[in-house]
Amino acid sequence: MRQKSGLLTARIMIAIAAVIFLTSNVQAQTPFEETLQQLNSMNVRNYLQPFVNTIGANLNSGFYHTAEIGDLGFYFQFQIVGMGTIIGDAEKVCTGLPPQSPGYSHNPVQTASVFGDKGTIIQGPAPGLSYQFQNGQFNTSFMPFGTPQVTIGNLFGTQAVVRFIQIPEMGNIPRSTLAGGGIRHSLNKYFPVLPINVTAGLFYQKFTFGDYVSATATAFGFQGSKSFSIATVYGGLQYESSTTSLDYVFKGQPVSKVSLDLSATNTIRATIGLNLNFALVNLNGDISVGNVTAVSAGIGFGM
Amino acid sequence: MKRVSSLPQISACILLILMAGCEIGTNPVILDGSPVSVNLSVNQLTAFFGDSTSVSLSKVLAGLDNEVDSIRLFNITLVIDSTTGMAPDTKLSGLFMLRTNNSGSDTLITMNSTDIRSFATERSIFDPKLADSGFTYRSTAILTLHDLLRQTPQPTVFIAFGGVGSTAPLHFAAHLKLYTQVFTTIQN
Repeated sequence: MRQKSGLLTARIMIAIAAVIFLTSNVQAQTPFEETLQQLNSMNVRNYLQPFVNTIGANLNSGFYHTAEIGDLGFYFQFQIVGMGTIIGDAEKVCTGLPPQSPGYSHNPVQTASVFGDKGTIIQGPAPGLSYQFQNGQFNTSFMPFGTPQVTIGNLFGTQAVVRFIQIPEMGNIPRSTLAGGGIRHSLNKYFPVLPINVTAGLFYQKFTFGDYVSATATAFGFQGSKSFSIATVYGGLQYESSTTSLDYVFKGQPVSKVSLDLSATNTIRATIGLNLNFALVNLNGDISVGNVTAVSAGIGFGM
Repeated sequence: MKRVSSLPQISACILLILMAGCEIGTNPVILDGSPVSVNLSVNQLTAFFGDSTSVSLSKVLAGLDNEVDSIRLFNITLVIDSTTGMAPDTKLSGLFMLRTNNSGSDTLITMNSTDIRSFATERSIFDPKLADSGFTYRSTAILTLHDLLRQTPQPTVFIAFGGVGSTAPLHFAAHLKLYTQVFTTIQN
């Protein structure tokens, strides 16, 4: 049985690798990266802030689908976790600063963020002169991400979660790498009267997106769950933070190096979800509400 | 058992669907064009001066390997330097003229006793404060430049600068710079 499970896992990984390989299309630079290099340090903050928020929200999603952890005994689960952040109208616009040149208004202008459509055009001081803010580059109302994830336990009520994915450049999507993990520990043995399963978890991840964007995400929270036959209702409260670092050369005038850190605005989230357990296969889905709304879903194999 | 054997394909499909759920690069990227410099140099023992040069507007695209949809002009600046050997408070009266192979001359800038110190550092020719210094630009010439930049390929323009200084000798270099935005075609 264990040999078959290992074979199954290997086949899944090969299938994913094949999909990734077949869809790869290497470009010198993606439009997103070119766009970044056209934004000075003043304008990149607002333009990219909604994207920074989605990175934080996505990375800090999908770590659990139950709070039931046995004290001792072998537990292994391989999961494909998909997560996504909902992009509202407010995330599609941002404030931009016009060129610091006489004749142009120096008042901030509402324009497209990275999730927006066309950049705002402002008229210049003479006929024939105008300036357009950068166009949006992600046309979506939902920013998705996915990763394989392995959960191993149980050792004194503790499980380790590891996730890793390396995605090559696919069309206009820069190559990206995610590596991270965490531990979850059952609190029921300390509070045996609790009517539900409760765990505490700590997670850390590192993410790179192309050559100029990298991020770290940290989350700490409590999870609870209650099972009813094959269904488990779960939820959690989580404190989280994520910082996205930008490091690139601004190719506008004057050419200059831009190195700055942007923090995601989401710090607290509440999660509620449902897990269906069919022996060796798990299906789960949840929604998290905080400064941004994120959803995650997973399909897991293991025992 | 047959159901289990299809799980890798299902997993791969989920990953693909997730990655395909977001359209990227549907709007063209706007790039800063390479600034086009027009450099004119004057070294005259008399108070009269003049120089001309030609410059290809295709220099806007230097260093870019993108497919270009259009080019938009958003600023023109002027700096006057290398003034060693002439009176620092020299005032210039004269014209910057613009000409192409297929069009007549058009006055771009008029200077009327304009103090060269006004352009000791790079300054937009559209700065409203310059009007007090006897410095004006002509909108028709700006429109001509705007139209020329929209041509494919971008043509070569001739710029001439001539006039009279308030002192002699005259030693200076005038640098006009055109700042543009380049609109790329959508990459898919």
